[in-house]
Amino acid sequence: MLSVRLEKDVPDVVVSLSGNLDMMTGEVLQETIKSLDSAQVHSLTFSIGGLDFIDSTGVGQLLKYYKRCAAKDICFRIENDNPEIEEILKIIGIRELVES
Amino acid sequence: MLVKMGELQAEDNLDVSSDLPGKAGIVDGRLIVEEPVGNGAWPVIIPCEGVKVFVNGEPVSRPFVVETAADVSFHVLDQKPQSAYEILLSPDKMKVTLRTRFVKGMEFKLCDREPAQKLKLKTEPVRELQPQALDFRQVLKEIQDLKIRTRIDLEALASACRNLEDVEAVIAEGIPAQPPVHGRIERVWELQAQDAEESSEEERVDHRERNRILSVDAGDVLAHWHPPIPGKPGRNVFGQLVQPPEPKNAALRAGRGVKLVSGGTVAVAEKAGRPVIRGNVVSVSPQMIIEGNVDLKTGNIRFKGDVVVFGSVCESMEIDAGGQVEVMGDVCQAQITAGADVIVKGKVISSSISAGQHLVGLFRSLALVKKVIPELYKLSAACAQLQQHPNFSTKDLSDSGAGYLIKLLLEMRFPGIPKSFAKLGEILANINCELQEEEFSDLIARMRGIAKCFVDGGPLTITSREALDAMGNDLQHLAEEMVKYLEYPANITASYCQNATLEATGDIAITGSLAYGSDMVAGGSIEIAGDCRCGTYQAKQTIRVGTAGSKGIGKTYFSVPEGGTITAKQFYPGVRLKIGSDLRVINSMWYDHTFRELDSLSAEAANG
Repeated sequence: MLSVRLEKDVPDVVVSLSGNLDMMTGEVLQETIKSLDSAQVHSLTFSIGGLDFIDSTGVGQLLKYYKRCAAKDICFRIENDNPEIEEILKIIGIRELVES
Repeated sequence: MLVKMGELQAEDNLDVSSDLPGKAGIVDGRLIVEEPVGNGAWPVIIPCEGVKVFVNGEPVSRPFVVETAADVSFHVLDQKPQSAYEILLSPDKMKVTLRTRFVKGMEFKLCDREPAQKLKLKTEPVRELQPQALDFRQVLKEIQDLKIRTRIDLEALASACRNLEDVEAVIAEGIPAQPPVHGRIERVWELQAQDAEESSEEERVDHRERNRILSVDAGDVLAHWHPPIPGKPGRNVFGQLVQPPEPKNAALRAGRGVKLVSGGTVAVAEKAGRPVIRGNVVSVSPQMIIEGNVDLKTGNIRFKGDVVVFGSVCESMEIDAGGQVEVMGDVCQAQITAGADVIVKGKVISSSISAGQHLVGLFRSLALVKKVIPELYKLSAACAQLQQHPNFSTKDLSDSGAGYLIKLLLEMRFPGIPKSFAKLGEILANINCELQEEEFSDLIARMRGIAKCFVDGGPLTITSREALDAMGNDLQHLAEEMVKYLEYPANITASYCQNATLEATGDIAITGSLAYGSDMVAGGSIEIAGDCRCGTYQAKQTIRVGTAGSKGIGKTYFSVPEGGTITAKQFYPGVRLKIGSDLRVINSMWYDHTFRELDSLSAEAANG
């Protein structure tokens, strides 16, 4: 189960995630991101401290949004105060690309 | 200080000559004190190291004024003898050593001192104090507490404890593993070739008897394998088994054109050709014999094995051989590419010769493979770390394999791995295996297969971390195979060389009178017996020539990397030398000299 909350709308979007971000739940997040008018987005921040679990598909999904933002020169961040999930991000190496 | 006369009292004694300072001295180790007279200064005692000084029972370390000897007491410190030991266990747990250290002590006393107003204390040695022997029982107990299972050498232990000498005595030893006897391959054909050389008196063109062109016929015994004898395990001091190393050459392998008989201990040629041994693989490289010249009649030669030309290689002709090329005549305006050595008995003129070009690619591949193997193990470790992480869901991995996770890791944390494999793929693609042995082609194909798994969408095909580990291990094995190939660099030998281009992964040797206007690149050394005029000569190790350069205007350029040497009987002015990154031009004649560094030429330039 994934809960996606749009904390702040365009231009500086903040999306808060809690629950599980995995291959089964990724679509929920995708719908939220699709609903944004990308032309008006200046920055996109994911707040993922509420996640309990993440899998490689979930990490891949975040990476996909990072790449899209980078291509459009949109500032991309992942905020996280959950040390367990942070450890996963570090092992995968996403922290070498995306700032917190 | 200014003293006003009016301030003095009438009874004050103004006769300073009657003032005498107090004194303190040491007599027979005891303090004596003389009080001062009149306004004379009071005696002062200055303590020193090695003496504890007490005034009225209180310790004092700074200079102090003494009134009476009874107030002061001394305690002279002695250097105590030391008896110390350490019990050492060797890293392999095969030896327990007792290291002893005995230091003699010294007893001191106060030096007698003449009475003086300022008495500086001093001590002097009286006698040596011998250290005590070590407590044998205590040391033995400590050793026994280590739970050593092998015999303790009580005699050595007692001697080390008793003898008051610094020693490292071995107290207990394990039983070392008996090393194995490595398997050995005895090359029979080399013995036969030597026999043939000794016995033949006239030249005969027969495959069996031409020892200059080493060849064997079908059925010939090539090698005997003396199987390895495994070592015997030993025991360490704790009684644990210590396994001997695995013996090398654990098996004889038959390569192309070879059959193993007698239970795999004898290698026999299945067809005629040149015997080749690489590691523990014995094979026979097929030979193509050209009785005359390579010219329009024969056409260009392309052959998987060795090519032997009894005539010359004529204008515009090409030889491309997977093995060795031997030309009895000359090579004029022609091209030879060989997987192994090229031997030209005659002259090489305006031609291009390349020996072992495929090994250059292999060498570059090996460097990349060695770099990437540890990274693969780190990648596998990262996978394992994630798979065991309590907050990392692995359901998608069990559904569709670890490929996607590996791809993510490669993209984000290990981007160097796909880059290295992409580069490896490029190098491998340029290695022409068409004329090489099957083993070599197989090696390259396997490396290409692994490289593919790490570029573009390749990682998605990796099903599990175990598969990733298997690829790492496979790559390690392939690297060992590559090293075996690189142990046999390809050399070029010719008697004369003019306006030619020679490239060899091994050495280049020009045995005759002249190398002129040629470009040579050797992975090993260059040796030119005669004159070397004009051209560029680059070697990875050493260059040795008869005469370097000439009085003429052509440029002769020699280059070796740092640590390499350039030697000649004569160096003419104008010759350019490069050692490492240092490039200099010779300004005067040099005789019988080896350049290891070019500082001597700086001196020449300064003097000139």
